[in-house]
Amino acid sequence: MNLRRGLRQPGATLTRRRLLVCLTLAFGAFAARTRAETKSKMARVGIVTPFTADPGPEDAYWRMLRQGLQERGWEEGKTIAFEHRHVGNFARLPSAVNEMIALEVDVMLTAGAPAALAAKGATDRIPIVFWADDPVGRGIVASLALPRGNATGIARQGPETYAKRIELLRQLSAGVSRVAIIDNPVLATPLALRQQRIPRGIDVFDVHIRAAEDLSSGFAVIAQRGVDAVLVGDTVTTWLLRTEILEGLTKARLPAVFGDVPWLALGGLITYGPNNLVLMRQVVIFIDKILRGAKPADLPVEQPMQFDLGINLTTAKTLGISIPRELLLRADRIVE
Amino acid sequence: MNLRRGLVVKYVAYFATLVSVVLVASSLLGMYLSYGKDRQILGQLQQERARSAALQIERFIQEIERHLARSTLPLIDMLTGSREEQRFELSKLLRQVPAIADAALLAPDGSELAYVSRLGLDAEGSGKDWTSDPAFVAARGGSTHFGAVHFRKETEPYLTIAAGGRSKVGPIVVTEVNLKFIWDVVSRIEVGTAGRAYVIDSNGYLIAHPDISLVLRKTDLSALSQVRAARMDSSANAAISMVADDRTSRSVLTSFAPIPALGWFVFVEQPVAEALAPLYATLWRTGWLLIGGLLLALLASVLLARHVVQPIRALQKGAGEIGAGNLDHRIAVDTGDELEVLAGEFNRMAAQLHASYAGLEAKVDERTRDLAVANRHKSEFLAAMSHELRTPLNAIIGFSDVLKRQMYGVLNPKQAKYAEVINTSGKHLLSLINEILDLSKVEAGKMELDISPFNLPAAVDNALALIRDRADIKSIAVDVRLDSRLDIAVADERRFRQILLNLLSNAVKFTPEKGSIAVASTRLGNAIEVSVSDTGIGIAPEDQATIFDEFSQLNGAQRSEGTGLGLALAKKLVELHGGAMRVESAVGKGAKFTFSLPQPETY
Repeated sequence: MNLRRGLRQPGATLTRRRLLVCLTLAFGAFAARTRAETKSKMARVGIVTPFTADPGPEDAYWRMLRQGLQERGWEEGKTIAFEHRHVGNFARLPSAVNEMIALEVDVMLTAGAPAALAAKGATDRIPIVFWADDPVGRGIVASLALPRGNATGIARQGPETYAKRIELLRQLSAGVSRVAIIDNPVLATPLALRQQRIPRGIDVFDVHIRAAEDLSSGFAVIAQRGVDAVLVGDTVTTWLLRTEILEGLTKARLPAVFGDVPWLALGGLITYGPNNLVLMRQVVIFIDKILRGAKPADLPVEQPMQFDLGINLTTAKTLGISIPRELLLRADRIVE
Repeated sequence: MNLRRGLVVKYVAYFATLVSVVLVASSLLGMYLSYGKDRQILGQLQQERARSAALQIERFIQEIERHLARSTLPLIDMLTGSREEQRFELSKLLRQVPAIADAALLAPDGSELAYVSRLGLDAEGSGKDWTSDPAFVAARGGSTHFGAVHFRKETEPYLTIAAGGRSKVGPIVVTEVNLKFIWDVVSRIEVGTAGRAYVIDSNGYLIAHPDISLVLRKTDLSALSQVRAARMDSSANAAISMVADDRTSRSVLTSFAPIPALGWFVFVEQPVAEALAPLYATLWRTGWLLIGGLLLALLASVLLARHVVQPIRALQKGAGEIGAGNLDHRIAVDTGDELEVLAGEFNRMAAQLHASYAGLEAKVDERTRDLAVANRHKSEFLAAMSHELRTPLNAIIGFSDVLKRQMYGVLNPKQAKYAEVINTSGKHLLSLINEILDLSKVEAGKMELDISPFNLPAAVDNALALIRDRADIKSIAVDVRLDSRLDIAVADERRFRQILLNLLSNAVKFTPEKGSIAVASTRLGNAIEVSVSDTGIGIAPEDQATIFDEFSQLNGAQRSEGTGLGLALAKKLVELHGGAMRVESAVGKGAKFTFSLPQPETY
């Protein structure tokens, strides 16, 4: 039989075979290249913070970050690498950011508004995941729902709890009528406080601390003004000077309220603020999504869902303060 | 015969087609039915998932509602109690339900007794008026109030839940619930590997999704066809499973279940490719089984066709052998059916043919023997006749001639006339005998020709001299037109003269007085042609075919004047030379006899 189109025609067979060979080779080359690319192209996360090289208790957060990413399939040293720049000084943030840009990291994680702003000012290409208070007010993002630009992250809402913290001091002791806020004015967080409703009958004033040398004068003012209690602000400066601040407070025998839980372990009396570990889970999701191709502009800024109240009963005892039943009931963490 | 398509091919085609059609039809029908059924089951499963997801979301809200109900109970007696205790109760509520961002305790008259918030400042006895607030109004009516979903800072979804008011004096708790907490519930619902569950509010806004970013972006899904379908039929029993495009235009199998109390819809979606994967796997399996079945059918068809065709081939081969004359051949078919009977019939036919042939050959042998005997008798008769008849006939002719010449005395006229008759009749009889002898010699192949060159005009003259007297008597003119180039001819001269004489005698015989006869010769290629024409009575066309037969004479011819063998002998002699004789004539128009004699080239 004379086939009009014979499959077994020698020419056809040759062409088909050649095509098959070409396809196989092409696929092989593609697969090899992809593998090579995966191998050579390791995802790199740059971490820029103003903290000191020794992160201390923050270690828990970094561990959580690594673990979270590992759970999402990123293996450190194989598919993901971390570049750390803990500069310990705001002035060095821009150079740290530039180093990250030079390293061509795939995503930059910044702690605090200054680091976020430094990164934002240096690149509009490398995605930034920030961890900052009031990112809209600071101009890091356009809005929480639609960040636009190359940055997204966590709006920590620390200063938004300052009034609440003062209220806690009041609930701790009805006699509290004058509260000092120790914070770095450069970072402008007290401004947010000004816009908030302060519990009635409480006199609040700022003690500005830009560096360690401001502390002695600050505590002198506190002693001078007859302060009943102290609110330690959430800026990086207070954390960098944590030992000195806690020493001063102990010396002055003043009850104080802090934002982040780590203060509790160091001897802080009360902490009230967002649960950072829950937020860190969100940071992990952000980094994972961005490394898998998501655009920061499409990822709304996350706000904390959970605010934890921590009480250090040992410190309370030292200060001779009895914690009211309501506070004990509401406390999420108690150090005894 | 060269078969275009053998029986095997035909049978294979028939069997395979038959089996394949049945197999394919049944498989397709089965696939169609099972596809529809499986599809339905998948849809039902998806709906069940949606219902289960809706139940989980509903349970989350109910849990909050239950806490509200529990917290209001002890407060009933505390309406007149301390404000601190009231706030404490609210704090407890916040402690128990993390999703509640803030809570207010309202007196039955709508005034705020206490307020507790996670972010804002607490309040005691602010007396704020809630009477116009829909949450208060609904809760006052005795039912739990679920407000519309609203987005704080245009990003986080919140829901107002108010409960209480079981009695006219009971307090009311109004809470703001952060719906981001549903994320935990929604992301725990597993829908295959790439599927997901999500929740939309009555306006079509996404309020819970495993990808929280979509919720925080305040994604409006009201344009999706499945959302439109859900919002159109939000009855509690509504359960639709449909294929639609999701937010990213990916084709998904989607089902929803409403949460009537909240006006929400819980959707469960799975990419069509994944949802229908088991279905496709079944189809593939059926397809492979079908292909396997078809191959088996083809194989079985080939075997069956071969089995059926084998005895037919044996029959064909056997019939061919018999047809070719091998009548001893016997066809061996052992199938126990009609084919075996047919083979038997063939064998019987071959046997009968064989027997008939054997009889026929015997008869032929017998007849041949008879013929040989007859031939011998004929030869003997002719030999006897030539000897026994010619001897007395020569005596009759010789002595009648002596008498006629009156050598032994004068005869009276009557005696002279009778002696003349005796002499003529004797000569006639002798020539008859000679002609019979010649004819029988030619027929027996014993006539030998003496082929040699001779003078053709002399031979013609010789023959003419023998009939000239008779022609003169009838005043017949004889015209001779010989080809001047033809002097010598090569043939048996005696037989040539015999042929020509015969034709001339006939011409004289059948030409009336004062007629004419013409003799002509010519060369035609490698032969000479000699013709004798007359102006005689002619021969009718129907008689022209028989005039060369032995003892054949034309009607009306004087029988005494010829033996009826002359023309037959002449023709045979011409043919013995390798030539041919023909006649052209018409009644009343005379006749022209022409004969040709081939001439050897060497002469």
